Amino acid sequence: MPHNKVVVTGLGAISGAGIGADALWAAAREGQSAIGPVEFERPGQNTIKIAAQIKGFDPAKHMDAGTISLSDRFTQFAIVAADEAMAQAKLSREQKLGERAAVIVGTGVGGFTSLDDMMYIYNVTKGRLQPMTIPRVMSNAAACHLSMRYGCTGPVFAVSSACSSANQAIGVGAMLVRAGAVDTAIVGGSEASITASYIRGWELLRVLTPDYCRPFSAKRTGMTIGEGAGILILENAETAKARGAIPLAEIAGYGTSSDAKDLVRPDPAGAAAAMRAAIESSGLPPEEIDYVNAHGTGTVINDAVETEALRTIFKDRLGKIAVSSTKPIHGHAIGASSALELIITIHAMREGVAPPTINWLAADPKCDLDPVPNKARKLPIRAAMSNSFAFGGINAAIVVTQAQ
Amino acid sequence: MNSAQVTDRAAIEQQLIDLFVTDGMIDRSAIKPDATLESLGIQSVDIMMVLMSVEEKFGVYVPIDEKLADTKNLQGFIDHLIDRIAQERKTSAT
Repeated sequence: MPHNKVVVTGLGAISGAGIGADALWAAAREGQSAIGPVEFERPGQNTIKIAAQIKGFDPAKHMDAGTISLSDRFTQFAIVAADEAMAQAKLSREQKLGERAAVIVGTGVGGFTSLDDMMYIYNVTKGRLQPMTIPRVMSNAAACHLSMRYGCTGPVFAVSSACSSANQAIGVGAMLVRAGAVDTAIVGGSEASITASYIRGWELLRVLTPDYCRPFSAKRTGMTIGEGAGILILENAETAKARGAIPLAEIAGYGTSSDAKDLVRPDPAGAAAAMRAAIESSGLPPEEIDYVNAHGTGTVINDAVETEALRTIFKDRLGKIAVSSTKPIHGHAIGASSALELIITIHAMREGVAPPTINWLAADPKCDLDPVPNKARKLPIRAAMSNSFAFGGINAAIVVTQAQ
Repeated sequence: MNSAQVTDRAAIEQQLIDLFVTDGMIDRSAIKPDATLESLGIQSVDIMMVLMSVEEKFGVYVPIDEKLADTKNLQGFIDHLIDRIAQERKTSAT
């Protein structure tokens, strides 16, 4: 089997920090949180009043009326992020990408906003239903809209593995390019599920903080939900070079594992297995990893378990590696989260700056690592890893290196 | 702490024990202050059920923070809940 080098030639994002990968990176680097008071179209009995929400989004600025009528908010986010990534990669919609191009987009719950609307109309108001609800809600809708938009006729599908969705989508896309099955893969994740009912569902799991998300810190009380989309253009380094595309980074390794234990309780062995597999797949010694963008949700258990798993991999060197969580910036955007985080990781590596873990108060002995507390730090980064661990026990990690 | 507060605390404690019996599905006879959550077979899912009932009954959202995660026995867990309920009542009273 061929072993092609996989490069990233385009990045696109929409998040609570605004539209654009640059806006996301600037917020992460400067420690500007996008978390604020949440606004619901239909308010409910919610205890948690905060989220990293995208406010005032107007799809008409980004796509035609026909596309809007056929798409849920999560698909619209994916389109905005993908158009930006395609433009950076200097790929145009006119030039169809064809059968050598894949589209793989992760999502936790797909078109949840449209589903919530339909349930409300059907069960409560008994009004007129939106006839395109099903094609809007389906989890593969974002991937399919992108395939039609750019003429990708190769493998197109959604990955749904809760918080690991985007990392698995990116990883599978990278493996397809590496193996020579396709030359281009449009990959990432999208999530738009901030409705009162959805937030209430998370409240019941007791993992949402009522005030501040402070990963790896003493006195942490949980995570905050976010929304958005992150899209990356992956290409075979050779075909990218042949068309004159500029590589931004290399996807060097991907690893995924399953705890096969508990639906909601993370397991350090499973998390470590995914990281080990990603590093092995990169062919790099672990000593070359200078920065880790952690899953770092800010829940008591995740951060302690992730620290334990990182310790298994990096041993005594752990204290010397910068490990930060940017979730207090963009929130936990579930199926989009690891795409947003990989985009931040690539920016961090290119700029030589480790973004901070904000809201950090004091060390927790169970999280004995260097979380880059509260302020960004200049740091030469040879290689970096981005982690994601999901409900269901699915873990996925990606290793990126500087583009040669 | 005055006697009214003590009585209040005892009443809340009794209501919380009732919640463990109904929502945590714990045998009432097995409930002893020093019983560990493990020995009672209380898992993370049962704790979520109990915390949801606490929210319904007392109007207090209790996230799983360090203190709660570190409690080892039933009494510690109940004491933490009572503290949170008392704290919430004090905040909403001021």
